[in-house]
Amino acid sequence: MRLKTPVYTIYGLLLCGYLAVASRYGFSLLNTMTPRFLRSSGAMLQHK
Amino acid sequence: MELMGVQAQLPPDISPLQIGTQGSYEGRPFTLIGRVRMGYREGSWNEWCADFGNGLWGWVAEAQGFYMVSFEVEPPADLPGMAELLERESRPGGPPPLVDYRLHQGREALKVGRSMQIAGTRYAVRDTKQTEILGSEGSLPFTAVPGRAAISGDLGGPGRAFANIEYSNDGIRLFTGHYCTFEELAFRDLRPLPGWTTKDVETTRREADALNCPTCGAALNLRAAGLSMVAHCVGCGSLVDTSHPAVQLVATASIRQQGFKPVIPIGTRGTLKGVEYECIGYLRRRDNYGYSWDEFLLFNPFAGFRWLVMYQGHWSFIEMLLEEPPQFFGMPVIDRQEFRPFSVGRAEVVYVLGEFYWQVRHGERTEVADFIAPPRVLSSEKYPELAEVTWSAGEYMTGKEVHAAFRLPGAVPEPMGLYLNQPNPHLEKGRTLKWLLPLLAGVFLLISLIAAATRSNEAAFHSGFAMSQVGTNGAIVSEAFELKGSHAQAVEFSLQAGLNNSWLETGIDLVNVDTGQVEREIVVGVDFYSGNDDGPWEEGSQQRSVIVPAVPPGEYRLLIEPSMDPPNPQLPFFIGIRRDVMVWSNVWLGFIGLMAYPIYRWMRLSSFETARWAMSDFSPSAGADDDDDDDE
Repeated sequence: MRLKTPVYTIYGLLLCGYLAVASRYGFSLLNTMTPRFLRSSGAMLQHK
Repeated sequence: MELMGVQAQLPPDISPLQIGTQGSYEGRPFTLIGRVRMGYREGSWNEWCADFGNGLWGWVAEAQGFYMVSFEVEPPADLPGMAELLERESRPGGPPPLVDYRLHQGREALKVGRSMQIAGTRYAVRDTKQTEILGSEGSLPFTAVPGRAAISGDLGGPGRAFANIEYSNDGIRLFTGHYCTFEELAFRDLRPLPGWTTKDVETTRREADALNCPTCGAALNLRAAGLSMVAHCVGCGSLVDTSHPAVQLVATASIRQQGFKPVIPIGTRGTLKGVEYECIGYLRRRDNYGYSWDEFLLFNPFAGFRWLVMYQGHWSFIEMLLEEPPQFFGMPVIDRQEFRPFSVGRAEVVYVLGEFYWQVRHGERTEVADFIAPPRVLSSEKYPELAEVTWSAGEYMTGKEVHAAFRLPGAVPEPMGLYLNQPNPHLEKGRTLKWLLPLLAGVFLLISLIAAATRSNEAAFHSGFAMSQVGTNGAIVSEAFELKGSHAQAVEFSLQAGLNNSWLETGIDLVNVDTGQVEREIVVGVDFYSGNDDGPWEEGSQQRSVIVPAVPPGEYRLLIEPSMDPPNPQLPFFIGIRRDVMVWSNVWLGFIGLMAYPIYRWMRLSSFETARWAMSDFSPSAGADDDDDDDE
């Protein structure tokens, strides 16, 4: 049980780090999660 | 003060106190100089005379591991019987009242539950009994005549206030003080206790000290001599009244009970919370639903009595409270912690083994109520024939801890199901989340705000087009534009068209001018419909945007392939591009990711509590079921 706290801490910090990097370089987690064939057609890109 | 010597045969007891023992009460040192053994129908206790010096003396009563320090004070004039006593004293020479009349006065005045105001403190009578002096020793401030009868009432008040009122041939006497613990009184020069403070076990005892079973004659080896009111004979299994030297048979052993071996054998010693206890008694009780549990009475001559209660492998370590806990909207409160009501019911004794400090019987019934603040539990017990309620507080223990403490052989049985005060394992696992989650969420939010604030969000391109501009290649080629920057960035493409009841979709290729390669393929469309049926309505949007992630800086053109229905070659549409925009989906998805584990932990915690309270007589579902029945 004690392992979960440092694991979650690292996980949380990684999320924060990803947010910082992704915001600077314009990465999109949503785009990363979409299947490749949909990505290439642009059909699943974000809509406002 | 008279030196009484030793009057009458004092029964053996395991009190750690002796004449000469010193202690301290509220900072005032005292020495025990005398003792009176008081007996009543169901037992006996010690009253120690304490010399505080400078002519001040008080009393230290010792019963069931509790200590009551009190000093004699003038009874208030409004105490029942006092007016008559004072009037009689003012007319000396008349005959004294009969003892029976005085005892009757006491019984009437000291009804259990009666409230009295004494010296500004409100007391309630907790216990009343007819007493007699069994014997005495040492120096005492009065002549302790063996057999002197009295009605003695113990009263309790807030803050562990204690009072005792005694009606006897000597008049009406009042003593006030406090309930104290052994530790608080800081005793020293204690009596050596064989098996406890000395390794020697008493091998020679005076014949008059030995207690024998009236059924089989076997010696009754009392582990809490002087405190045990009933004991089980290991020879024949009979239940014997040991409250007086003349032991009496209470009940013969049932065939079913003989040979029964409790999990913690009688006589086993173990250390719990740093104190060594001996298991001296075992009870099995059953509630009105047929569920049964085991109770083990533990004894330490200095700490007093404690209990271990076991149900399906779940244990609780219980100690009795000196006073009823204060209530807050019907919930008892201890150490500023509220205890929620969990169950009410009746408990019946079905097995008895060993010794007990009250006259326990097979079939004895009590009304019990449990209140919980896991891992703690508060229980109240009420005997139907008494107005008194006893309270005890306990804490959950695992089978492993108990087996290790008492060095019990064999494997530890796995606990079954949930128990009322079992600590929620998910509460412990998620304890650090209380500060970790806000910390991480705060860092996450801070990074989001800084990221949003540092984005350029600069317009890089904006131009209007029409379907009529489509060339032979089926596409419109835009002017070149530059996406500035030193690194890849998110780029927002927006399409706007003033259409109505139609749609427009544009397939846009972002072509790098330098390399001629298509960097991205984007599809963005708008649709807008409106009408007037039962009122005006509209649907869709004339403007839409998409965010394209991680586009490298450079010079680009757009290859636009529009399609529209119904076609309108002259309808203008506008494409705008903003560079280095904030990708907010990263924030939402990242936050969901951050909350995933805490939400999982919270669901497990809630699920455990739901299962716990499903067993309660006060569960919300129990109330809802009742409401459903009412609706029918």
